[in-house]
Amino acid sequence: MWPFIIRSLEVATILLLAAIGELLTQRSGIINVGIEGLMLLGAASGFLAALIWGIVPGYVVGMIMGALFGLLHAVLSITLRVNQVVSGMGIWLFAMGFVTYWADRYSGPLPPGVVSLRIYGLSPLFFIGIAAVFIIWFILSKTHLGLKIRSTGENPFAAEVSGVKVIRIRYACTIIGGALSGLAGAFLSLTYLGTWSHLPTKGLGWIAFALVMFSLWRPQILLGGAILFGFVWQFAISPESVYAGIPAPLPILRMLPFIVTIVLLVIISSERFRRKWWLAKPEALGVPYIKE
Amino acid sequence: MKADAPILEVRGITKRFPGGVVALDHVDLEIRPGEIHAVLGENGAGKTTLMNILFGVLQPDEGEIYINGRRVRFRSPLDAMNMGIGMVHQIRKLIPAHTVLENIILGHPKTESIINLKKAREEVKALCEKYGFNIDLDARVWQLSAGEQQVVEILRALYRGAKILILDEPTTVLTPSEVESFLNSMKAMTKEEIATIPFVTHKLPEVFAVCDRITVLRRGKVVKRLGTKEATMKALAEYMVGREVLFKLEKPKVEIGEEILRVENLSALSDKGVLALKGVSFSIREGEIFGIAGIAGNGQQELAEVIAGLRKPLGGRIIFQGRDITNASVLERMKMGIGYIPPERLGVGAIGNFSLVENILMSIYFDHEFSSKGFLSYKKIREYAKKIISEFEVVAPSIDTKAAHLSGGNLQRLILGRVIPRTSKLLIANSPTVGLDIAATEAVRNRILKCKERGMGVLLISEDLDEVLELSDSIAPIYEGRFVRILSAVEAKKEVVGAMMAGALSGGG
Repeated sequence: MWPFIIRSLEVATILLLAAIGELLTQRSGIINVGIEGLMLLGAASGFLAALIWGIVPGYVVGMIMGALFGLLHAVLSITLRVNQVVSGMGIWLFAMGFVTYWADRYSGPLPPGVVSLRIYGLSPLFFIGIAAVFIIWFILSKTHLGLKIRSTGENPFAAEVSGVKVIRIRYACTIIGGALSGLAGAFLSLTYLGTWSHLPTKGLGWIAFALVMFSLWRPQILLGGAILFGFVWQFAISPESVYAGIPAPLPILRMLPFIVTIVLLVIISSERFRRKWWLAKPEALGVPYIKE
Repeated sequence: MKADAPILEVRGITKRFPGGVVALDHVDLEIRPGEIHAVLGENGAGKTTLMNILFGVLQPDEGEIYINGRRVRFRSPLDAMNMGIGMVHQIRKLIPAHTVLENIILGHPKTESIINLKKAREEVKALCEKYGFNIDLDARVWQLSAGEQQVVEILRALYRGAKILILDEPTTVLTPSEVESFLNSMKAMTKEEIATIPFVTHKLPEVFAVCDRITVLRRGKVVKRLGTKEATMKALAEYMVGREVLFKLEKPKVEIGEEILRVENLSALSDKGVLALKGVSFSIREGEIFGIAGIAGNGQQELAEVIAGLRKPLGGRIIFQGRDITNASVLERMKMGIGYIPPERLGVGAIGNFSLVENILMSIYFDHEFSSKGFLSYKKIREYAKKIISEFEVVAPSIDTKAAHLSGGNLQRLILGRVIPRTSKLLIANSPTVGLDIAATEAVRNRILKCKERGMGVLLISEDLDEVLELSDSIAPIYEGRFVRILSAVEAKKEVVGAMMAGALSGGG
């Protein structure tokens, strides 16, 4: 059971890092639907860097790669005012093609010398992920910077007349969001999988994206959602590690947690809970800011 | 009592826009400390451009701005704010999801990195007391009325230490009682040497009552500068428009005929799912203008939409010429002769990306004169569109111009041209003159009176109490989804109806 929990928390870490980054980006009013792509790029570049320099540089390179493509998305959607969904989709499609061409020839496990750090079996990145959630929660809700970020996402015009540097804040949040997605990708290929195979993200980026919306843009709910989804994901891969011996068809067992999760999240994002917990969808999300 | 040295001086400001439009032509303005100095002008007179220049949003092509005798250049609103200029926007620059306090402290240099809400709250509270504002600092801005939102913008400017306050159409959205407290706050600011500059197109009388001096703009030029004592309402309107303005409309003498519309105990939900209309009954007869006066959000919008067929009623009946049309479709109602003029001109009234022809087409496409077997006859449609555009005096480069490029007044003329000729029995006009300047307002009101003359019934809904009183034969103040009372034009006194709109008087007494 313990290995199953560890594996689940690793999936949760991937989701957590990517989703909290996207949450920050979206809170500033920029939507980046290309997280799956950013994760792929982070996974591939991190994997290749780890082959040369080892595990920690692998994480760092993955993060830098994510930040660079976050910057690309920022230039396209903030400065050039490209439709943000189109830009994000473009990054995803580019990443799929590029990563296949770039990294698939190195398919296979990491060499034996490249091993992830573990604390009680857990990667330090799990704790970093949780810390990131708390830091971003604190910044958004308690600091002047957070108020500026939220204002930028709600109404950039109002923010600007209060002296907030809207463009700068959106750039910073998009780049940080990209970096966290890249890190999530590197963690996936280096620690969770420890091997490279064709397009390894398998939709985890999209789940992270969905988590942001299900969380009603709140870091606390996001944390719970990411851990829940981590377990569900892991369970879908190896239900026998939990349900060994239960006489039910495997496909049904694999489906069950997803159905339960979707129902649960639909309930959380329902009208009733939205009212109770205050829906925080940024009003200006996805709308380009054009100065008067 | 006031110091004579101007706190703000504007000399020879000129602004040209691409395409050779001169928005401002050597405009001079002089504001003394603690003065209330109104700037009047029609839409297109250059008021917005001047405000944007004073607040650093735009840079002038020529001319200088002096503050306390020192020349200044604003590259951004931030520069203007740092020099003590505050702006109260008509289109609110506030964040609806945030609290009042958060909106006020946002971006302020004094706000700590880790926000100390307690300290900020005390400071803002002190400001409220000083100037007589009464507002819940923890309320979310979307919960506030338009007048309260204006207070938030004023507080934000004062919290930043503004000495000059630019107010864009400050009284348009206020209820009569709010106007009074607003004017009192303005006087309180005067005592603190804070100069206020209200920019005004509509609602002249209220501002007129408190300001010291007036500057009138027309087509980018200052046409008149005068002290309030020397001015009359009529003269001011003439300076603004450039010709004589008839403040009193000629109400045609029309025989009130038979009942056209009867509404029985109608109720409806708002978009948010709240009971907005709580059982309203009334009837409209031929040649009658039935006016509903109320502050936005009291159910009048829902009422208009239910009668026009855009919203399903929760309960009650609508009888049109003896027929129950409660469940009739919009198209059926149009064909019966019911026309609807919505308050949202772009979006509901017209499609911005459609040309004028296409917009007109939307209300005639079903007519066999213009289409057969599903094919449209564009030749006839274009002829019809041309006729409508000249008849309703829509000023546009061509009939293929996009509707979004029209000014507010021209757009409303287009919408009237679409709706009125196809309407034979009942016209529903919801806020038909909101945001229009004097000339366009006059044109729209005359059109409505013409409908009355033709024997149509008119349901007029407006926040502008003067408009309702002036045009209507029957007046129903609406408050929280109910008519307070239904009054005849003779018995409706402005003060009483105003108090009823604000919920101060109940119907019984």
